[in-house]
Amino acid sequence: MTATILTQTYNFSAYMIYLPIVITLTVLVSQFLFKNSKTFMIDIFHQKEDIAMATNSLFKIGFYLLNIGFALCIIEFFQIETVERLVVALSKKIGGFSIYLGVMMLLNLLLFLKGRKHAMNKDKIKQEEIVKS
Amino acid sequence: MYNIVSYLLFLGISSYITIDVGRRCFNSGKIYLEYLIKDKDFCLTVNRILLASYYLVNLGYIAINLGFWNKISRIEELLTNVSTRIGIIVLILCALHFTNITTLYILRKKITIK
Repeated sequence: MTATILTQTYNFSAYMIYLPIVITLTVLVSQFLFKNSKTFMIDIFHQKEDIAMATNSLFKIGFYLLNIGFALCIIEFFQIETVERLVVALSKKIGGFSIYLGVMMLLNLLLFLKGRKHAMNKDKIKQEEIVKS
Repeated sequence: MYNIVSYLLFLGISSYITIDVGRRCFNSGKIYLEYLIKDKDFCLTVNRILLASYYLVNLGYIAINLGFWNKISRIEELLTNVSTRIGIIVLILCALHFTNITTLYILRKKITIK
């Protein structure tokens, strides 16, 4: 009887530690990413401020949805019996999630860089046409 | 007892997320669509239809989801069940959102002809 109560408390505290850490991590990372991506967006959309901001917030919504959804989907822990197990399981899960978050951030940055390159090429072609005519 | 609490939590959180995300997407999607379509009335109509179908799909899925609910007897089970289900719904929202953006982007050339 005591054993079941113990496992219950540990699992519950694991969830209670896991959820706020994961959500604050996601919010911090996406705020950081999308504060810096404004310059990329302005470059991509040829200095048009409003459309750049709108697209930025659209991507931000997508990023939040993807990461928080993934974090909530992998929440389930096995039965945790001791405090050591709790620490190990929590660090495993949070570490895995941070690696995933880092990969996502890098992918997003690559997307922005690619879009910027594309836009720059377009600008160059336009300028050359103007020069020719 | 726990089942009813979990239903209420799930319905509240997931419908709040759906409606809030829909509103935000509607607001910034207006400008995005105007950039792509360049016809204000048409763009507003498209945006409204997208919003309505989005609400229908997601709220419908949330309602259906209540049917496949496990029996919940402890508070940890409540937490895992509710969060996993909300996570699945959020991932569906995300997939819909990105397909929306890419479809509009791909269709852009065909639409801007007029």
